[in-house]
Amino acid sequence: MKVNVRNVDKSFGAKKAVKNVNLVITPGTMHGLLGSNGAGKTTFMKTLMGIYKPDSGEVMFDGRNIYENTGMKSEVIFIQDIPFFFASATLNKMAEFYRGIYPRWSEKRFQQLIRHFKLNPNQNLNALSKGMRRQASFILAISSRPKVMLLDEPFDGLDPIIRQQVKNLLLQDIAGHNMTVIASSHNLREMEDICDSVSIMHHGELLFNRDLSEIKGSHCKLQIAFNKLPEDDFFEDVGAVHKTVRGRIITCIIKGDILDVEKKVTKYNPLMYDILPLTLEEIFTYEMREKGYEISNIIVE
Amino acid sequence: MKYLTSLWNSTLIRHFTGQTFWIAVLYTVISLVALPLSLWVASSNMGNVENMTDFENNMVQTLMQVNLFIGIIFAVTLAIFTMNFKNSESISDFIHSLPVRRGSILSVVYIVGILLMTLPVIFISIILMFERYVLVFDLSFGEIFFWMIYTIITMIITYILAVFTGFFTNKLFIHLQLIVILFFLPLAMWTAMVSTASMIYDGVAVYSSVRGDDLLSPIINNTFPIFAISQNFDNFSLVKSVVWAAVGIVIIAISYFLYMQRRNEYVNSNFTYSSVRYVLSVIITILGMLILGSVLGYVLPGNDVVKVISFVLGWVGSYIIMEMLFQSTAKINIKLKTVIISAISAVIFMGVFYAGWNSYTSYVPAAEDVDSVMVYSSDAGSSYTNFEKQEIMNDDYLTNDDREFINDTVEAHQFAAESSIEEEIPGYYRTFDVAYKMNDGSMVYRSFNHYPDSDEALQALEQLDSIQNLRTTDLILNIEEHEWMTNIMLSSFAGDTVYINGEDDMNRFTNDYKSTYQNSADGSLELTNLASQNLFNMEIEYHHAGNQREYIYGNGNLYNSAVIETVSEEMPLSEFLAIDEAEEVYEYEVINSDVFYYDFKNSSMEEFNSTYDLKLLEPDEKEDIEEEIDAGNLSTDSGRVIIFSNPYHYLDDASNDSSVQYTHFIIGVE
Repeated sequence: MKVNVRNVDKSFGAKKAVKNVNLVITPGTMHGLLGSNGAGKTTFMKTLMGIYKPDSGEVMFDGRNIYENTGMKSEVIFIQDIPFFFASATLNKMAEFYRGIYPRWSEKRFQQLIRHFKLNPNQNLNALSKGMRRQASFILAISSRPKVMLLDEPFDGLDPIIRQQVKNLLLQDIAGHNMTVIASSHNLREMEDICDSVSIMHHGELLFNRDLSEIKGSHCKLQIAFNKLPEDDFFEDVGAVHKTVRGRIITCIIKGDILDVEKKVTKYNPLMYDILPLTLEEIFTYEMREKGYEISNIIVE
Repeated sequence: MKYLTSLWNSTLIRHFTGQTFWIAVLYTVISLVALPLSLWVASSNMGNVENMTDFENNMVQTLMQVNLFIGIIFAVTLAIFTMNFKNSESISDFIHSLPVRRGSILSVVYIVGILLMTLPVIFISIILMFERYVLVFDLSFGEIFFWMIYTIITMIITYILAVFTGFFTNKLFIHLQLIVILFFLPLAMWTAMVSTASMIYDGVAVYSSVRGDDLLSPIINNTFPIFAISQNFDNFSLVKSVVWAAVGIVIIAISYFLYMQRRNEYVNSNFTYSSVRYVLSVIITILGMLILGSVLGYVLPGNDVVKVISFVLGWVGSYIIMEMLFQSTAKINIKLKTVIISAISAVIFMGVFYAGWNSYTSYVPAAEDVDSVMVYSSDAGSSYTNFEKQEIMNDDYLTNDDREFINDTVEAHQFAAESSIEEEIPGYYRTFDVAYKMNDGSMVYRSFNHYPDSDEALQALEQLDSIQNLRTTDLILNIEEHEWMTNIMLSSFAGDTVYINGEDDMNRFTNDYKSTYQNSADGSLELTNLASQNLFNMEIEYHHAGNQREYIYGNGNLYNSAVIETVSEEMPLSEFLAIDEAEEVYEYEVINSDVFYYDFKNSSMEEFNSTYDLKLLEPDEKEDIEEEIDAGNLSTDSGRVIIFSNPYHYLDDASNDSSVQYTHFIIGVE
């Protein structure tokens, strides 16, 4: 399901929490919404879910508005940063509720996931640990078979093994059912390995929105050592957009045709060199600096 | 796809029902105790109850009334907990992320509420239907059915109003406050205004002695929970019920509208609409200012400066309390803007308040605009009664349309209104209550506690005593429907009561009283009035179809031969009037009656005795007089009077100056 956000504003009194956000998310992909605490991610996610009505602009799922649209909402599910369960509810009780609310509920999937995560379906959910409650929320959400899943800080509280299991499950549904996932996080590294596209939100504004495969196909990191440092035309020649020099070792980010880089580098007789893919942090560092922001000021972890 | 457009969502209904189920169980248990069990226990003890009809009318109605009160509390509790889903960010976000329209959610709230209120009441009704066969008193199907329908409707209206208030706040505690405000703010505000005004001004008819009408009754009688509960107990008003049902329907429509407009992002704010909060805080601060200011003004009586200080301190205290309640914390955050708005509003209010009540208390209608008048004064024109226009009395009862009497009343009223006595003076009471029926049908009530004691003012009051007014205020003389009477009671101040019951006896007494009335009223009006005010009164008990037993007490003529004969048949008249217990009995021949009775009302016994040199009777002379009285030789036109000390009046320092009329009684003898 394609998600199209156009010129969305959302204010709390005089404070504008979301400012003129435009975003398009391709069906069957996972989008990471990154930003520090207070950046406006949760407000934006709740606006996406139709919990909040945009002050202006529109949130469209496959061309249909979601606010007060039950047909649309039955295909979109939202997991809050602190998963909510009714008082004294067990997983089975919550499943009974979800079963009545979400028409695409899969009992088979629910039973599979319970076995997979080894959760007691008759245990009071509010008595469980934060991580187990989050697992329960994933079980319920995935069993509801949504076409779009909105996740607010989804991996917070999960141990690394469960975190990876959850990521795998999400990727399965993305691949198997063409599910679209939008996940917000303040942890850049956490989203790196699963997101197809990412955006950065800061003070309510979307500063950056890119397809990661596109970035990774056009950017790389070059680490190279020389007997004698080359002239400036070297950097121009290889297409370096950012460089750091320590002694005779140069590290630079190269933009452009990265297949041709090795050929260009060897012309300068380096002692050794290594061409590496960019990490998400390095991409942001480079991109944000171009926009005049220090990434460390935007994303802390 | 399920429930996309339907207002019925069984999953949500199950959920909301589960959330509040145990409250309904609790209500059912309390209801079982309050009605079927209590009735059964009462029925089991019925061997001790002599009057079945009274039991039926009072006990059953009272228990049903108590049950309805419990039902209203339940409806409010149910609404608060059902609407609690919107008070917490996590559940609010969860519920509003579900594929359910807001309209459906609100419909579920109503459906669950109505189900949980209706089922227990029907359950209790079914129990009553069976229980009625084992009760020793009569409990009809009709009564049970009426109770069931009426209770359900009342609870539903309460629930609708309580749900409605939930849209103005996001906190459970404030929701409860708003429900109380919705139901009782108009009553509390008006009561505080009237009470404060009555403390500052004389003339405010807070509780009027005439006709039972006053400034508070209209608001009290139309305040929903009070009206709803008392209506169950008294007569059913279809008009009021229809009006409130219509209000309920309108409120439902507004609630849907408000929910559609509700913005979830403000879930953490105490109030949904800041404008509502400002308006309520201003009104409630003023209410608190009036209450606290009045209390301070009462505790610290003083001049106008003290009054102003009292109200200013009342405003400060009230503002702090109100902010604590609305902010749900003792550590309040004071905003200069709200302080200024509230202070300016209070100043404007007090300006209007003073001007309005000043105009109210100084108003005296033009005599030509008055159709008829009712007066009660402690000194003249007496008519102390609990009468509230029951059908048993004729239309002229207490209503005097004599032009001269109206002119005299307006004149006396003018003295009262122009009196410089504006506030409570402990120990000084000379009441003057008046009710005008104007030519246009409207009513004007004024009630003064401090009628001026100037000669001119008292003379104006004296003019109100007339044979014509005596007739309009006489209880027996104005009975219209004799057949409804079940008892006539003749009572003396000493507490002795002579009962006349049985249709024949009551008819005979009433006819005799009416036929001999003119003779008994021909003599001194003063003697008759003083007896009515201080010595003797009458009461009638009656009921007719659909009504429970009711009572009216009022004036009677002690000198009427029917009264003298009836009392004498039961006990010696001297014992009835407690002359036999009096320590001092005096005899006197009245010559200048106007001056004599004026002095009797306004002089102390010491002054009075020194002026008139009363003859104190010796024991044997006292016995002779008692024999004369026992023989029925009372008279208002002989000029011979007996003045005897009130055996139940205990002198203390403060009352040494009390006028004779309060320490002694006077009767005329042949």
